[in-house]
Amino acid sequence: MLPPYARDGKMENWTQQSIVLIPAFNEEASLGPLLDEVAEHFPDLAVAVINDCSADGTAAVARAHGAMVLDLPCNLGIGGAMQTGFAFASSRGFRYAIRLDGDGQHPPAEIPQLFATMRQTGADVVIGSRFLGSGTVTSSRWRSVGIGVLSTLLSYACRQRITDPTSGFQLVNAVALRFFSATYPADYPEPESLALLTRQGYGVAEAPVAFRLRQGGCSSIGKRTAFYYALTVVMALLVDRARAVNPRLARKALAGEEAR
Amino acid sequence: MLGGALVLASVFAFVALRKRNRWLASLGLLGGVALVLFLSGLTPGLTAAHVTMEFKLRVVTGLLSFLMLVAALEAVRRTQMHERYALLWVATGLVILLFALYPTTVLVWLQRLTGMQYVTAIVIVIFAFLLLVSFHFSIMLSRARDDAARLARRLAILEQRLLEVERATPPAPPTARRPPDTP
Repeated sequence: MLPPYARDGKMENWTQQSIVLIPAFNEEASLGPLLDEVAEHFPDLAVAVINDCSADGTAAVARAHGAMVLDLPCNLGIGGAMQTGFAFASSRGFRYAIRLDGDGQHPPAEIPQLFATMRQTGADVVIGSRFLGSGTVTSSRWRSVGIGVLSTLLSYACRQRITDPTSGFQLVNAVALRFFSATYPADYPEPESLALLTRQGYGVAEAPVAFRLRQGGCSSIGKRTAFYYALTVVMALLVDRARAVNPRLARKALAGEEAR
Repeated sequence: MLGGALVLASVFAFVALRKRNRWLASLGLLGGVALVLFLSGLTPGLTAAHVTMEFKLRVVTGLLSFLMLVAALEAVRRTQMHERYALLWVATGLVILLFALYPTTVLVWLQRLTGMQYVTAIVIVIFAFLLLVSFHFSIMLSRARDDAARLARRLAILEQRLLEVERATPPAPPTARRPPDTP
Protein backbone atom coordinates (compact mmCIF):
# COMPACT_ATOMS: atom_id res chain seq x y z
CA MET A 1 0.00 0.00 0.00
CA LEU A 2 2.66 2.53 1.03
CA PRO A 3 5.23 3.48 -1.55
CA PRO A 4 8.76 2.57 -0.35
CA TYR A 5 9.93 6.17 -0.21
CA ALA A 6 6.97 7.26 1.84
CA ARG A 7 8.39 6.91 5.32
CA ASP A 8 12.09 7.64 5.20
CA GLY A 9 11.44 11.12 6.54
CA LYS A 10 14.25 13.05 4.81
CA MET A 11 13.18 16.38 3.48
CA GLU A 12 15.92 16.44 0.80
CA ASN A 13 13.90 14.32 -1.60
CA TRP A 14 10.63 15.94 -0.61
CA THR A 15 9.17 15.88 -4.10
CA GLN A 16 8.88 12.10 -3.92
CA GLN A 17 7.22 12.15 -0.52
CA SER A 18 4.79 14.96 -1.18
CA ILE A 19 1.51 15.49 -2.89
CA VAL A 20 0.03 18.75 -4.11
CA LEU A 21 -3.65 19.13 -3.26
CA ILE A 22 -5.63 21.54 -5.40
CA PRO A 23 -9.24 22.15 -4.42
CA ALA A 24 -11.07 23.27 -7.55
CA PHE A 25 -14.57 24.51 -8.15
CA ASN A 26 -15.19 25.59 -11.76
CA GLU A 27 -11.51 26.33 -12.41
CA GLU A 28 -11.08 24.79 -15.88
CA ALA A 29 -9.59 28.04 -17.24
CA SER A 30 -6.77 28.41 -14.73
CA LEU A 31 -6.21 24.78 -13.74
CA GLY A 32 -4.39 23.67 -16.91
CA PRO A 33 -1.62 26.29 -16.78
CA LEU A 34 -1.22 25.73 -13.03
CA LEU A 35 -0.79 21.96 -13.44
CA ASP A 36 1.70 22.51 -16.27
CA GLU A 37 3.63 24.93 -14.08
CA VAL A 38 3.80 22.44 -11.20
CA ALA A 39 5.00 19.70 -13.57
CA GLU A 40 7.58 22.05 -15.06
CA HIS A 41 9.11 22.94 -11.69
CA PHE A 42 8.74 19.56 -9.99
CA PRO A 43 8.29 16.73 -12.52
CA ASP A 44 8.13 13.91 -9.96
CA LEU A 45 5.67 15.61 -7.60
CA ALA A 46 2.28 13.90 -7.26
CA VAL A 47 -0.74 16.13 -7.81
CA ALA A 48 -4.36 15.51 -6.85
CA VAL A 49 -7.14 17.86 -7.87
CA ILE A 50 -10.20 17.75 -5.64
CA ASN A 51 -13.10 18.56 -7.92
CA ASP A 52 -15.81 19.98 -5.69
CA CYS A 53 -18.65 19.02 -8.02
CA SER A 54 -17.82 21.62 -10.67
CA ALA A 55 -20.29 22.34 -13.45
CA ASP A 56 -17.52 22.80 -16.03
CA GLY A 57 -14.78 20.48 -17.30
CA THR A 58 -12.49 20.84 -14.28
CA ALA A 59 -12.09 17.07 -13.77
CA ALA A 60 -11.38 16.42 -17.46
CA VAL A 61 -8.81 19.24 -17.61
CA ALA A 62 -7.08 17.89 -14.50
CA ARG A 63 -6.91 14.33 -15.88
CA ALA A 64 -5.70 15.59 -19.25
CA HIS A 65 -2.82 17.32 -17.46
CA GLY A 66 -1.85 14.16 -15.63
CA ALA A 67 -3.25 14.89 -12.19
CA MET A 68 -5.14 12.48 -10.01
CA VAL A 69 -8.73 13.59 -9.55
CA LEU A 70 -10.85 13.18 -6.47
CA ASP A 71 -14.29 13.71 -7.93
CA LEU A 72 -16.80 14.72 -5.25
CA PRO A 73 -20.38 13.75 -6.09
CA CYS A 74 -21.83 16.76 -4.27
CA ASN A 75 -20.51 20.19 -3.38
CA LEU A 76 -18.87 20.05 0.05
CA GLY A 77 -17.33 23.50 0.10
CA ILE A 78 -13.63 24.22 0.52
CA GLY A 79 -13.41 22.54 3.94
CA GLY A 80 -14.95 19.27 2.81
CA ALA A 81 -12.86 19.27 -0.36
CA MET A 82 -9.62 19.82 1.57
CA GLN A 83 -10.48 17.13 4.08
CA THR A 84 -10.97 14.72 1.17
CA GLY A 85 -7.51 15.63 -0.09
CA PHE A 86 -5.90 15.29 3.34
CA ALA A 87 -7.52 11.89 3.92
CA PHE A 88 -6.35 10.76 0.49
CA ALA A 89 -2.77 11.95 1.09
CA SER A 90 -2.71 10.33 4.50
CA SER A 91 -4.10 7.01 3.25
CA ARG A 92 -1.50 6.94 0.47
CA GLY A 93 1.29 7.41 2.98
CA PHE A 94 2.55 10.77 1.76
CA ARG A 95 4.64 12.58 4.34
CA TYR A 96 3.80 16.07 3.13
CA ALA A 97 0.84 17.69 1.44
CA ILE A 98 0.99 21.09 -0.19
CA ARG A 99 -2.23 22.93 -0.75
CA LEU A 100 -2.41 25.21 -3.77
CA ASP A 101 -5.49 27.17 -4.84
CA GLY A 102 -6.88 26.36 -8.26
CA ASP A 103 -7.00 29.99 -9.34
CA GLY A 104 -3.21 30.23 -9.65
CA GLN A 105 -2.70 32.70 -6.79
CA HIS A 106 -0.05 30.50 -5.24
CA PRO A 107 3.10 30.18 -7.36
CA PRO A 108 4.40 26.59 -7.26
CA ALA A 109 7.97 27.91 -7.43
CA GLU A 110 7.56 29.10 -3.84
CA ILE A 111 6.93 25.62 -2.46
CA PRO A 112 10.61 25.07 -1.40
CA GLN A 113 10.24 28.22 0.69
CA LEU A 114 7.57 26.44 2.76
CA PHE A 115 9.81 23.40 3.20
CA ALA A 116 12.71 25.61 4.28
CA THR A 117 10.55 27.13 6.99
CA MET A 118 9.31 23.70 8.10
CA ARG A 119 12.90 22.49 8.36
CA GLN A 120 13.97 25.53 10.37
CA THR A 121 11.03 25.67 12.77
CA GLY A 122 10.00 22.03 13.00
CA ALA A 123 6.39 23.11 12.63
CA ASP A 124 3.70 20.64 11.56
CA VAL A 125 1.95 23.14 9.32
CA VAL A 126 3.56 26.02 7.44
CA ILE A 127 1.44 28.83 6.00
CA GLY A 128 2.59 30.90 3.05
CA SER A 129 2.00 34.48 4.14
CA ARG A 130 1.71 37.25 1.60
CA PHE A 131 2.30 39.89 4.29
CA LEU A 132 5.71 38.60 5.37
CA GLY A 133 6.97 38.52 1.79
CA SER A 134 8.15 41.25 -0.53
CA GLY A 135 5.46 40.73 -3.15
CA THR A 136 2.84 43.36 -3.84
CA VAL A 137 -0.43 42.87 -2.03
CA THR A 138 -3.47 44.23 -3.78
CA SER A 139 -6.43 44.22 -1.49
CA SER A 140 -9.44 46.43 -0.99
CA ARG A 141 -9.52 48.56 2.13
CA TRP A 142 -12.35 46.66 3.79
CA ARG A 143 -10.70 43.36 3.08
CA SER A 144 -7.46 44.45 4.69
CA VAL A 145 -9.38 45.73 7.71
CA GLY A 146 -11.10 42.36 8.00
CA ILE A 147 -7.82 40.49 7.66
CA GLY A 148 -6.28 42.75 10.31
CA VAL A 149 -9.06 42.05 12.80
CA LEU A 150 -8.96 38.33 12.05
CA SER A 151 -5.19 38.28 12.33
CA THR A 152 -5.32 39.90 15.77
CA LEU A 153 -7.98 37.52 17.00
CA LEU A 154 -6.27 34.44 15.58
CA SER A 155 -2.89 35.49 16.93
CA TYR A 156 -4.51 35.64 20.35
CA ALA A 157 -6.19 32.25 19.87
CA CYS A 158 -2.94 30.64 18.70
CA ARG A 159 -0.75 32.49 21.22
CA GLN A 160 1.60 33.38 18.38
CA ARG A 161 1.76 35.94 15.59
CA ILE A 162 -0.29 34.99 12.50
CA THR A 163 0.02 37.61 9.76
CA ASP A 164 -2.05 35.98 7.02
CA PRO A 165 -4.97 34.10 8.58
CA THR A 166 -6.85 33.46 5.32
CA SER A 167 -3.95 32.09 3.29
CA GLY A 168 -4.65 28.78 1.59
CA PHE A 169 -1.00 28.21 0.62
CA GLN A 170 -0.06 25.54 3.14
CA LEU A 171 2.39 22.76 3.77
CA VAL A 172 1.12 19.99 6.05
CA ASN A 173 3.24 17.16 7.46
CA ALA A 174 2.16 13.56 8.09
CA VAL A 175 1.05 14.04 11.68
CA ALA A 176 -1.06 17.09 10.86
CA LEU A 177 -2.41 15.23 7.83
CA ARG A 178 -3.78 12.57 10.11
CA PHE A 179 -5.28 15.23 12.35
CA PHE A 180 -6.90 16.99 9.40
CA SER A 181 -8.31 13.74 7.99
CA ALA A 182 -10.10 13.23 11.29
CA THR A 183 -11.30 16.77 11.86
CA TYR A 184 -11.38 19.80 9.63
CA PRO A 185 -13.72 22.79 9.69
CA ALA A 186 -16.37 22.88 6.97
CA ASP A 187 -16.83 26.55 6.09
CA TYR A 188 -13.94 28.97 5.64
CA PRO A 189 -11.49 26.51 7.23
CA GLU A 190 -8.16 28.36 7.03
CA PRO A 191 -8.26 30.49 10.21
CA GLU A 192 -10.16 27.96 12.28
CA SER A 193 -7.88 25.07 11.33
CA LEU A 194 -4.88 27.03 12.65
CA ALA A 195 -6.64 27.61 15.96
CA LEU A 196 -7.54 23.91 16.19
CA LEU A 197 -3.95 22.91 15.44
CA THR A 198 -2.33 25.06 18.11
CA ARG A 199 -4.97 24.06 20.63
CA GLN A 200 -4.17 20.38 20.10
CA GLY A 201 -0.44 21.01 20.47
CA TYR A 202 0.64 21.13 16.81
CA GLY A 203 3.28 23.59 15.66
CA VAL A 204 2.33 26.29 13.16
CA ALA A 205 4.71 28.62 11.34
CA GLU A 206 4.52 31.18 8.56
CA ALA A 207 6.78 31.53 5.56
CA PRO A 208 7.17 34.69 3.47
CA VAL A 209 5.72 34.00 0.03
CA ALA A 210 4.91 36.22 -2.94
CA PHE A 211 1.37 35.70 -4.14
CA ARG A 212 0.14 36.43 -7.64
CA LEU A 213 -3.10 37.89 -8.84
CA ARG A 214 -5.68 35.21 -9.46
CA GLN A 215 -5.36 33.90 -13.00
CA GLY A 216 -9.05 33.30 -13.53
CA GLY A 217 -12.31 32.74 -11.68
CA CYS A 218 -13.32 34.90 -8.75
CA SER A 219 -12.90 34.86 -4.99
CA SER A 220 -15.28 32.65 -3.09
CA ILE A 221 -15.72 35.57 -0.71
CA GLY A 222 -17.61 38.40 -2.35
CA LYS A 223 -18.67 41.71 -0.87
CA ARG A 224 -21.90 40.31 0.45
CA THR A 225 -20.45 37.16 1.97
CA ALA A 226 -17.48 38.92 3.60
CA PHE A 227 -19.57 39.94 6.61
CA TYR A 228 -20.97 36.43 6.91
CA TYR A 229 -17.42 35.07 6.61
CA ALA A 230 -16.20 37.26 9.46
CA LEU A 231 -19.11 36.33 11.72
CA THR A 232 -18.78 32.59 11.02
CA VAL A 233 -15.05 32.56 11.64
CA VAL A 234 -15.22 34.63 14.82
CA MET A 235 -17.98 32.42 16.20
CA ALA A 236 -16.06 29.27 15.27
CA LEU A 237 -12.89 30.60 16.94
CA LEU A 238 -14.77 31.41 20.15
CA VAL A 239 -16.62 28.09 20.25
CA ASP A 240 -13.39 26.17 19.61
CA ARG A 241 -11.82 27.70 22.69
CA ALA A 242 -14.76 26.48 24.72
CA ARG A 243 -14.38 22.95 23.39
CA ALA A 244 -12.33 20.43 25.34
CA VAL A 245 -9.02 19.30 23.88
CA ASN A 246 -9.47 15.89 22.28
CA PRO A 247 -6.66 13.70 23.67
CA ARG A 248 -7.02 11.13 20.89
CA LEU A 249 -6.24 13.78 18.28
CA ALA A 250 -3.57 15.60 20.27
CA ARG A 251 -0.16 15.90 18.65
CA LYS A 252 1.48 13.51 21.10
CA ALA A 253 -1.03 10.73 20.40
CA LEU A 254 -0.92 10.98 16.60
CA ALA A 255 2.85 11.49 16.46
CA GLY A 256 3.27 8.34 18.56
CA GLU A 257 1.10 6.35 16.14
CA GLU A 258 2.99 7.82 13.20
CA ALA A 259 6.36 6.72 14.59
CA ARG A 260 5.17 3.16 15.14
CA MET B 1 -60.14 35.00 14.82
CA LEU B 2 -62.81 34.61 12.13
CA GLY B 3 -60.25 35.03 9.35
CA GLY B 4 -57.93 32.56 11.03
CA ALA B 5 -60.63 29.92 11.27
CA LEU B 6 -61.59 30.49 7.63
CA VAL B 7 -58.02 30.09 6.53
CA LEU B 8 -57.63 26.98 8.65
CA ALA B 9 -60.75 25.37 7.18
CA SER B 10 -59.86 26.26 3.60
CA VAL B 11 -56.29 25.01 3.98
CA PHE B 12 -57.57 21.76 5.39
CA ALA B 13 -60.10 21.38 2.57
CA PHE B 14 -57.49 22.31 -0.03
CA VAL B 15 -54.98 19.76 1.24
CA ALA B 16 -57.65 17.08 1.31
CA LEU B 17 -58.70 17.99 -2.26
CA ARG B 18 -55.11 17.80 -3.45
CA LYS B 19 -54.97 14.29 -2.08
CA ARG B 20 -58.18 13.53 -4.04
CA ASN B 21 -59.95 12.42 -0.94
CA ARG B 22 -63.45 13.85 -1.42
CA TRP B 23 -64.72 12.49 1.85
CA LEU B 24 -61.96 14.14 3.84
CA ALA B 25 -62.34 17.36 1.87
CA SER B 26 -66.06 17.68 2.46
CA LEU B 27 -65.57 16.84 6.13
CA GLY B 28 -62.93 19.54 6.38
CA LEU B 29 -65.12 22.06 4.60
CA LEU B 30 -68.11 21.17 6.78
CA GLY B 31 -66.04 21.41 9.94
CA GLY B 32 -64.60 24.70 8.81
CA VAL B 33 -67.99 26.19 8.02
CA ALA B 34 -69.40 24.97 11.33
CA LEU B 35 -66.43 26.46 13.14
CA VAL B 36 -66.85 29.78 11.37
CA LEU B 37 -70.58 29.89 12.14
CA PHE B 38 -69.91 28.99 15.74
CA LEU B 39 -67.22 31.58 16.19
CA SER B 40 -69.23 34.34 14.58
CA GLY B 41 -72.10 33.64 16.99
CA LEU B 42 -74.61 32.71 14.29
CA THR B 43 -75.22 29.21 15.60
CA PRO B 44 -78.74 28.80 16.92
CA GLY B 45 -79.10 27.41 20.44
CA LEU B 46 -75.93 28.93 21.77
CA THR B 47 -76.40 32.39 23.15
CA ALA B 48 -73.64 34.93 23.20
CA ALA B 49 -73.32 34.44 26.93
CA HIS B 50 -72.09 30.90 26.53
CA VAL B 51 -69.67 31.71 23.78
CA THR B 52 -67.02 33.62 25.62
CA MET B 53 -63.71 34.63 24.08
CA GLU B 54 -61.94 31.96 26.09
CA PHE B 55 -64.34 29.25 24.92
CA LYS B 56 -63.73 30.17 21.28
CA LEU B 57 -60.02 29.99 21.93
CA ARG B 58 -60.40 26.55 23.48
CA VAL B 59 -62.18 25.30 20.39
CA VAL B 60 -59.53 26.69 18.06
CA THR B 61 -56.59 25.36 20.09
CA GLY B 62 -58.32 22.00 20.44
CA LEU B 63 -58.76 21.81 16.69
CA LEU B 64 -55.16 22.88 16.15
CA SER B 65 -53.78 20.18 18.43
CA PHE B 66 -56.04 17.61 16.83
CA LEU B 67 -54.79 18.56 13.36
CA MET B 68 -51.19 18.45 14.54
CA LEU B 69 -51.60 14.99 16.04
CA VAL B 70 -53.41 13.63 13.00
CA ALA B 71 -50.87 15.16 10.60
CA ALA B 72 -47.89 13.79 12.54
CA LEU B 73 -49.33 10.28 12.93
CA GLU B 74 -50.49 10.22 9.31
CA ALA B 75 -47.01 11.23 8.13
CA VAL B 76 -45.52 8.37 10.14
CA ARG B 77 -48.13 5.97 8.76
CA ARG B 78 -47.23 6.95 5.20
CA THR B 79 -43.53 6.53 6.09
CA GLN B 80 -42.90 10.15 5.17
CA MET B 81 -41.53 10.84 8.63
CA HIS B 82 -39.45 8.80 11.03
CA GLU B 83 -40.91 8.09 14.46
CA ARG B 84 -38.13 9.93 16.26
CA TYR B 85 -39.01 13.18 14.48
CA ALA B 86 -42.76 12.69 14.95
CA LEU B 87 -42.28 12.38 18.69
CA LEU B 88 -41.73 16.11 19.22
CA TRP B 89 -44.74 16.99 17.07
CA VAL B 90 -46.96 14.57 18.95
CA ALA B 91 -45.73 15.97 22.25
CA THR B 92 -46.52 19.50 21.05
CA GLY B 93 -50.01 18.43 19.98
CA LEU B 94 -50.67 16.69 23.30
CA VAL B 95 -49.60 19.69 25.36
CA ILE B 96 -51.81 22.01 23.35
CA LEU B 97 -54.66 19.53 23.70
CA LEU B 98 -54.15 19.61 27.45
CA PHE B 99 -54.56 23.37 27.33
CA ALA B 100 -57.79 23.06 25.36
CA LEU B 101 -59.32 20.33 27.54
CA TYR B 102 -58.39 21.55 31.01
CA PRO B 103 -57.90 25.28 30.67
CA THR B 104 -58.81 26.11 34.26
CA THR B 105 -56.50 23.53 35.82
CA VAL B 106 -53.60 24.50 33.63
CA LEU B 107 -54.43 28.15 33.99
CA VAL B 108 -54.50 28.08 37.79
CA TRP B 109 -51.24 26.19 37.87
CA LEU B 110 -49.63 28.49 35.35
CA GLN B 111 -50.91 31.64 37.02
CA ARG B 112 -49.57 30.52 40.34
CA LEU B 113 -46.23 29.88 38.66
CA THR B 114 -45.84 32.89 36.39
CA GLY B 115 -48.96 35.05 36.45
CA MET B 116 -49.63 34.55 32.73
CA GLN B 117 -53.07 34.78 31.18
CA TYR B 118 -54.58 31.89 29.23
CA VAL B 119 -53.89 33.36 25.78
CA THR B 120 -50.33 34.31 26.59
CA ALA B 121 -49.67 30.89 28.03
CA ILE B 122 -50.90 29.15 24.87
CA VAL B 123 -48.84 31.39 22.64
CA ILE B 124 -45.75 30.85 24.78
CA VAL B 125 -46.18 27.08 24.82
CA ILE B 126 -46.69 26.85 21.06
CA PHE B 127 -43.75 29.14 20.45
CA ALA B 128 -41.49 27.18 22.80
CA PHE B 129 -42.34 23.90 21.12
CA LEU B 130 -41.83 25.32 17.64
CA LEU B 131 -38.42 26.57 18.77
CA LEU B 132 -37.59 23.12 20.10
CA VAL B 133 -38.69 21.44 16.90
CA SER B 134 -36.68 23.76 14.65
CA PHE B 135 -33.64 23.44 16.88
CA HIS B 136 -33.97 19.68 16.69
CA PHE B 137 -34.12 19.98 12.90
CA SER B 138 -30.98 22.11 12.74
CA ILE B 139 -29.06 19.46 14.64
CA MET B 140 -30.46 16.66 12.49
CA LEU B 141 -29.70 18.62 9.32
CA SER B 142 -26.09 19.13 10.41
CA ARG B 143 -25.77 15.45 11.19
CA ALA B 144 -27.23 14.47 7.81
CA ARG B 145 -24.87 16.90 6.09
CA ASP B 146 -21.87 15.40 7.94
CA ASP B 147 -22.93 11.92 6.90
CA ALA B 148 -23.31 13.00 3.27
CA ALA B 149 -19.88 14.67 3.34
CA ARG B 150 -18.26 11.57 4.81
CA LEU B 151 -19.82 9.40 2.11
CA ALA B 152 -18.80 11.82 -0.65
CA ARG B 153 -15.19 11.91 0.61
CA ARG B 154 -14.91 8.16 0.72
CA LEU B 155 -16.55 7.79 -2.69
CA ALA B 156 -14.16 10.27 -4.32
CA ILE B 157 -11.10 8.51 -2.88
CA LEU B 158 -12.39 5.07 -3.84
CA GLU B 159 -13.16 6.20 -7.39
CA GLN B 160 -9.61 7.41 -7.93
CA ARG B 161 -8.27 4.19 -6.46
CA LEU B 162 -10.54 2.12 -8.70
CA LEU B 163 -9.29 4.03 -11.73
CA GLU B 164 -5.70 3.26 -10.80
CA VAL B 165 -6.46 -0.41 -10.18
CA GLU B 166 -8.22 -0.65 -13.54
CA ARG B 167 -5.27 0.95 -15.29
CA ALA B 168 -2.83 -1.40 -13.57
CA THR B 169 -4.70 -4.63 -14.35
CA PRO B 170 -5.00 -5.86 -17.94
CA PRO B 171 -8.55 -5.68 -19.28
CA ALA B 172 -10.60 -8.79 -18.65
CA PRO B 173 -11.11 -11.03 -21.71
CA PRO B 174 -14.51 -10.49 -23.30
CA THR B 175 -16.99 -13.11 -22.25
CA ALA B 176 -17.83 -15.60 -24.98
CA ARG B 177 -21.49 -15.68 -24.26
CA ARG B 178 -23.85 -13.14 -22.84
CA PRO B 179 -25.81 -14.14 -19.78
CA PRO B 180 -29.15 -15.53 -20.91
CA ASP B 181 -31.23 -12.85 -19.22
CA THR B 182 -29.80 -9.90 -21.19
CA PRO B 183 -31.56 -9.06 -24.45
